[in-house]
Amino acid sequence: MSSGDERGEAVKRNLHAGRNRTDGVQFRVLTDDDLADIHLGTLEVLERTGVFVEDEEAREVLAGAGATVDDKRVVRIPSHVVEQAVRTAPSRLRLAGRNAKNDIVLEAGRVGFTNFGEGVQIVDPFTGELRVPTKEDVGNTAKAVDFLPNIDVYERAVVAEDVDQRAAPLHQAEAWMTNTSKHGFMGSGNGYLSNRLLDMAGAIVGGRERLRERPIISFITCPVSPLKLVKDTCEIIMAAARGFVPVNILSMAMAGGSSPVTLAGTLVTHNAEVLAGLTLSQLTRPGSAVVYGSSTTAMDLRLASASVGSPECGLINAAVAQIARFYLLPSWVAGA
Amino acid sequence: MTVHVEWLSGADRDAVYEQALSILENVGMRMKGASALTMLRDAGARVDDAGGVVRFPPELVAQAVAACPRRVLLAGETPATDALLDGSRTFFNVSGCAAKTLDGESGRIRPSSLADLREGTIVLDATPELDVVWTFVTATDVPLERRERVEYYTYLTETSKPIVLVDCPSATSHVRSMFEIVSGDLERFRARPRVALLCAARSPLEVNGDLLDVAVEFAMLGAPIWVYSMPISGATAPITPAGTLALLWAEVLGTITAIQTAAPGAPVIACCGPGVLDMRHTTMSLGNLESTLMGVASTEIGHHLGIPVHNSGLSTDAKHCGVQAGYEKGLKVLAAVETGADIVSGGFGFLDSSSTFSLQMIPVDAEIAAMARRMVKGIDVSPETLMGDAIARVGIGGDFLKERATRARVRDGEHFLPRIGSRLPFEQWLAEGQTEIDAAEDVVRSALAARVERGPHLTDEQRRDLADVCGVGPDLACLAPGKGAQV
Repeated sequence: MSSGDERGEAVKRNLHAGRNRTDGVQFRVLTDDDLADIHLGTLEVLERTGVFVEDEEAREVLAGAGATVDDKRVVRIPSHVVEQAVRTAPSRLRLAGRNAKNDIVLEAGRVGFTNFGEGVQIVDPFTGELRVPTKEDVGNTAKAVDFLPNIDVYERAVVAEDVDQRAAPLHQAEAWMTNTSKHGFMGSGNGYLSNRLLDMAGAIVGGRERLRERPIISFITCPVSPLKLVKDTCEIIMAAARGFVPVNILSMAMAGGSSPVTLAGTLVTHNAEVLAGLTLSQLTRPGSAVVYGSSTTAMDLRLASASVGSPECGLINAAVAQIARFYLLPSWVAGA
Repeated sequence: MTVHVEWLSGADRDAVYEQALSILENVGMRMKGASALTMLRDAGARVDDAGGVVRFPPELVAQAVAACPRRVLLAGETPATDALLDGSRTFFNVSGCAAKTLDGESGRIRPSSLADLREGTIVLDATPELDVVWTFVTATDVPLERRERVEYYTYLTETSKPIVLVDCPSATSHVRSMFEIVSGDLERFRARPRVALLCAARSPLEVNGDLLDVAVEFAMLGAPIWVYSMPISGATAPITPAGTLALLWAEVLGTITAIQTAAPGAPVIACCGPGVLDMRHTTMSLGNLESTLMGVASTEIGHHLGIPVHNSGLSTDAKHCGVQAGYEKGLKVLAAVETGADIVSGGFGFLDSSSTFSLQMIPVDAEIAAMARRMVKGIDVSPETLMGDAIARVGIGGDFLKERATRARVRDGEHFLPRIGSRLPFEQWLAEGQTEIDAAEDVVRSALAARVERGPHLTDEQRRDLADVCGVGPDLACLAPGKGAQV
């Protein structure tokens, strides 16, 4: 599991799926041809339909590389720009923990685990009561994850409702950063808050410039399906690129609602949203770290709700992991 | 494409097979007292009469493997309930002969009764995800001398699905009569065998001679034989999965060779139910992942040899219908179905390492099985399913709910819709107060109520003849669900 890095320090590298033994289990839901079709379908969507980009600076960055922008703030991105961005995004990430023994490398096929995030309710662990979470709960979830050896990195599990909501991500970061020495992911709100989070992380590692070597935080941001990068998302992607921390661009499409009913069609719009964000990231700073994320699943049409317990969610997760490997990008799938 | 998964390389599969051949040639299998010993000797096996040990030349085993049909028909009362194991899909059956039942009302374990057997059979008959009914419960409240026949009568009149006798019948004459009654005559039984037999080896490397004789007799009549091996790693088999696999396949292939030597071309199913010994408690575990790995590896080995394979993918060590049951069954059955096991047992009402029956667990297991089937259908990628035109039409920020394809494809099963699992918002779920077990109980109640409307299976004449053969009176024939056994 561990091997020395360039400085001879131990660093965690989890097992390769499919290489646990000489001929480990292989699991494929998509053929090479399927992957090519999804990729080509995605390029067509980005070039033909485009994506809505709400942030003016982001539109300028994209236009500077050859994308066209119309008066409805829709950006159509030529295929070569997207494919170049995929090439410049790193295939290997080292997610630093506050304690270096908790560093983990994400690279092709090595599977790690994290908890799920953004819970707006919590079942009280002591009373069983369903209630809104607090800052203390954020800290407690971090403590639990810190304790459990099979969880590699922390994701801010619940949102704190007992703090000033304008600064909530900063309170939440304070709660988890002081309760786990593992790497942490969190939704960082907007560009301003992202920069304050970089200040906080920088204070821990010895200055913001040190985050380049020791990125102890990653941001998460979600495009709005179908095909929208709202202002906050654009700001977070650009702040991460400039602040030298990874960003997890995680679409949450619902097949049948905010994306096509077929899983193949859903993978196309999902992929278009993530690659549009990735392109913005790479144009902001080539080589910035991006995690290919997904919380995409099927919509239960009886309840008009997203079901993450469905077999379709499992299939989408498996397909997303394959698509990310096709691009040589680290991936993140949710809904386990 | 449909999901593709691979656990062993071709070389690994061959290595296990070669090791099994070596065990059969050098150590052999004890089949003491079996009539097949003479035929095996004539066919070239080395037979030690005193100990009943047979050592098989590899060519004889290879010949037997070649004689096994890849397609095996387990016939229902009508073709609508047939299960044709031909590699095109995974079928499901229950587990076997539980003497204990988890009482749904009291939540306590008690000896299984004829009422449990009857109600269970009715619910299994009404469960579309379940294809084959093993004799799954022991009616401990029926006197031993009458029990077997009362059970047979109940199974045959309460389900139209194929039936497998898990315990060896005490004699065969009445079973032959049953074959004639349900099929018309023995020729028609051979064409559409409604009843099959399980022939289990005792690990390591032994099969009861009397059981083998019955299996051979049934095989000659055309009844499929489920050749079962369930070695326990660390106790009745080596600690390594590979070593256990070699032993398991030696037992399966040795028994198959005896059957094929006596009845060439007999339909057989390789049944692979390995367990491991939990060294902390010296208990057998079936819900563990090593058993799963050995099970899926066995599926690949069996298919490599051209034999249909059974897998015990729905078994769990959990003692109640809770979290452990869910994750063990879910993880295991998905692996089994992805690998293409021909038929999967261990569930549809089974807990406690396949020792305890639970009526409420049947619909839960059915849901797990249906989810696994949806999973292996995979993701269909084609110009039509990529839906490029719809994406362009709906555009940015639009809504796919109103697309005609959405409704049509959901109706056609594009998305799995649970019957047991809840997808409600938390508050609404709390307000409705219905758990998975409550939902399962609703399904059970509906199935039992429908039985009252439907009446029993088979014709009046068949039931009368069967009652004669089985020695049951009219009380049992008209016993209502839920009532105690009047026998």
